[in-house]
Amino acid sequence: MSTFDNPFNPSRSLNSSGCSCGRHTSQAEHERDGAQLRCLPVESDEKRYENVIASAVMRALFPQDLGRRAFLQSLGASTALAALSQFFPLKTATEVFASGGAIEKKDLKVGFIPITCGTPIIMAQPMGFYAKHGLNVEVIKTAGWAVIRDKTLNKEYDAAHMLSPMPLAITLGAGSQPIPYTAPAIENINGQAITLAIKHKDKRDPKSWKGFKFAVPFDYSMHNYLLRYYLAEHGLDPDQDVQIRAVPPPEMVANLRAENLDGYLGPDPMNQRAVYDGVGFIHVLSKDIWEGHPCCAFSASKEFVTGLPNTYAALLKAIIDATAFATRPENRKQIAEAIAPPNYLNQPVTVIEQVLTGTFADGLGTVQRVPNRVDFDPFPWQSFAIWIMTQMKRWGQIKGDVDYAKVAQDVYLATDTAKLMKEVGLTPPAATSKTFVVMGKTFDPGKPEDYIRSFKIKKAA
Amino acid sequence: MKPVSLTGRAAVVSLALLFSFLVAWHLATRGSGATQHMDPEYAKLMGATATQGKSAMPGPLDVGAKLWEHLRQPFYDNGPNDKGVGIQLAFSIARVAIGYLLAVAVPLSFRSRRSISLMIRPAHYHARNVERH
Repeated sequence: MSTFDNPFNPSRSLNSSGCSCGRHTSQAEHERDGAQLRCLPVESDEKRYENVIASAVMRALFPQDLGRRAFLQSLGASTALAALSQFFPLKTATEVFASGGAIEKKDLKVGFIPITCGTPIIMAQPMGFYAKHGLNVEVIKTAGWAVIRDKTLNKEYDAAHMLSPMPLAITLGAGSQPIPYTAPAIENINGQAITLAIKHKDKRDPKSWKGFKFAVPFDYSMHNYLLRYYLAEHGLDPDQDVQIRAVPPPEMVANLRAENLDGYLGPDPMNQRAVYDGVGFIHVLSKDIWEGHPCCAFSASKEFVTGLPNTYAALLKAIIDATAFATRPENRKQIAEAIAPPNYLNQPVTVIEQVLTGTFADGLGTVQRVPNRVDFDPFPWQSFAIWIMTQMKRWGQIKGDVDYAKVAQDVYLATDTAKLMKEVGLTPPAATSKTFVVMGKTFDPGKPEDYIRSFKIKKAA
Repeated sequence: MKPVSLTGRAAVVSLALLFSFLVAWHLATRGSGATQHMDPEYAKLMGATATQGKSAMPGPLDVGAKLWEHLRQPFYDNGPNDKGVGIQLAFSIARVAIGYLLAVAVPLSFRSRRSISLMIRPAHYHARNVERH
């Protein structure tokens, strides 16, 4: 890879197709060296960036490689570097390339709810991803979604872990003042489940759930929309036939035990904890309702994104980096150990391990193995935003005409994330919208109003 | 033989009550042994409540152990969400102290002999100022 060649080496051609590490004249030589364990990796990211910049400058100065080599042979590498630095600020150029600008505000506060959906945001603290990108972030445990929304709105938190519909709701003014918010990255996909109290273990058919009391974490949550969708598909009207209450996730298991609830569609580890404590069983995983549904998002106000752009870029990059680390199944055990202590999730390690590795007890006596029970994919598909808005309209949370495409574009920043995904080694999708299937019914993001009209059960207009 | 004093007997009764309360608490919350037949791999993934019928409420030994742990290291700091009981008490007491100081300092700043006199000895104030009509 000639970008990483040493531009001050007169005996190497910058343009030759050398070996894969960039220090040998041919692949055969590289392999020979490798066999003798002498092929060393580049010392650090900084050195690599320095070489990249210097290489570009030298190539620009000496379009004919022979000229560059003659220049270096007459002067020597260090003199050449000194001569070059006089006319071109190599150090500054390297810094700009590496960091994309100075970070405006190093000490940040990010709020989180102690659930596995926020794993990338939470694990980035103990595992050093924030520090790696030059930030000093305090992740602050919050009591519930309404509190996290209010604290982010009044700027006690610089950014927060939110449910994916929340930035849309805040931007549209549903449940709060309309303030432009953004969701540059989705934290997790899948990772929820419908858990019922153990006394209902013979009532697996949703049609027998009339009169049940369900809980969801928040009114503007994927859990609410998924639960309502699931009930409606089985013929129950979520507003007439059952009760749906908003209960903060940390209180869900206790309420189930105290028989205030018959079940909930909640985030993990609340489902697994209910099983672990013997009070509930997992009825259906959310990935069996909609495979690949978004759940939680990392969210910041538009003011933060435009006012502190370098800080925002570093923060987002750290989180995407953490997300990339979390997607790999071999890292999940390590992550479970890092986020289990009282300062983060405060759960027994085995509960979190069961959630992250997908080998879990289901509450009915079987050990199930579902490896992608929860998965992490940061790309904020704009079609997710449009689906969420159709469901908000379906259940009467927003009224009137909505410009679906424009709001989706303003809030779900797909282009920013695609750029940073590439930088940490993930491949972002080429499009920002896609069709998907929810419980056997296809959703086409180009026709949101038709989708809403196609449902039999919805809030009476 | 000198009869045991009333306070002595009261102390014995108090201790006996405390002891029987702790015993009752312990008996109510301890596990009852294996609750139901479980596949061993499944049982490894489940908690003590499900496998041994241990109550979700901690017993006196668990509470005692946790209390001792907190008292042994009152100023530990594991991050913004997990600080020792000493640190949390210090913050709480500081808040009370600030409120108290404000309550005392503001009136003192009025610097009127009469108002200070009223605060210190209302009877004195009345004696000196009210009786004279």
